[in-house]
Amino acid sequence: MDTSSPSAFVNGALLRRYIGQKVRTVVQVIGSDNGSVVGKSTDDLQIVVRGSSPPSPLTTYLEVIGIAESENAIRAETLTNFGNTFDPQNYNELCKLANGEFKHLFI
Amino acid sequence: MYGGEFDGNAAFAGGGFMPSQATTQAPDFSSAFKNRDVRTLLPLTLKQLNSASTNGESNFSIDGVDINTVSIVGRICRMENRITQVDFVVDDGTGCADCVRWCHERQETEEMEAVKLGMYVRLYGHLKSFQGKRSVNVFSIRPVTDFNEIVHHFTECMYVHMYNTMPRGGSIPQATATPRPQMPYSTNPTPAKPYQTGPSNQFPNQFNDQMHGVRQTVLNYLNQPMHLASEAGVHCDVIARDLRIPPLQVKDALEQLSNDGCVYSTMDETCFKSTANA
Repeated sequence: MDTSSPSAFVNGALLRRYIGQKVRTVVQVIGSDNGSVVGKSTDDLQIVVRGSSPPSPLTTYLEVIGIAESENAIRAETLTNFGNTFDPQNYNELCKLANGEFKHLFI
Repeated sequence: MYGGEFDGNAAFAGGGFMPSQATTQAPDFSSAFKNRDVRTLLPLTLKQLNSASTNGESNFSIDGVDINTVSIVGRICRMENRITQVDFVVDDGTGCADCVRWCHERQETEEMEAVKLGMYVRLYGHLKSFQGKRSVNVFSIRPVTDFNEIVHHFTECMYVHMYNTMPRGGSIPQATATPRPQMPYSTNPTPAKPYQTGPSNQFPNQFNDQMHGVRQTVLNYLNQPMHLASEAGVHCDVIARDLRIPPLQVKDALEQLSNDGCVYSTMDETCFKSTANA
């Protein structure tokens, strides 16, 4: 059992707290070309995902696990299709709780 | 349905993941009396599972609750098929855990074949410790197909943590777990009356006295065991006839009682039943 390299749940606004660290987020795909994906975070900010070839075909929602490069870019290690019926609002609230009151259960 | 020592009845029907009375009242005896009551099913993050305290090889507890069965949702990041078992590592973002799924029967093998590397899974298992190394002995696993389940799992982890760490008594779960038998407008006045809302109740003897009387009469009528036991409730015209109160007054009284949560309408807006326990 290893908890030395967790990946924090983030939305667009929380990404800046983890620059250089491992994060996970879910974006709504806006477009993709040449191996990079542009997505909308669950709190309506734009996030660029680079570094890993996206699954094909892409669904509406995409989970990104990787290193936060900047406040709006992630270098992806793992991309997972999260389907078309994912609820971004619930995920956004989870991100806030996992970085706030309940942070000790996550990272 | 499940292999191994998993007892579905104990895990799912015996109070679920909530700590039983036995766990909270007599933690010292729980290991001596391993019965159905002390079996728990806890949804946990792997960070929580790693931080669980232990007093031996396989007695773990977290938030004051003994860990028996755990529920985990995560992504399979390593997997190795062996002859009698599948070894894999699950990563839920808070940590990684080594897992073993023993496959003796065909059903167990088939269940494991549906699971592939990189998939999100929901699993149930027992936390084991061997030579200081913790692992999960999995007895049920399935792929996550609706990814909202991931959000739900972590939300549930937070809820259960909050429930188990909240001081007992006066808390919200406590109030819902033991419904108060005493209802407002009860026939037996008690010193500790539940709170009441609505201006009509605050001054029962000053305003609207006659109306208050009608409400009380109607409620007493609906609180009769015969009417409490009835599924369909009682039609307002029947109440009016039996009590010899004008139907309009009965309807007004029922509406107010309904607003105060003392009665509710059943099949339609004309049949009513008391909210008191039968």
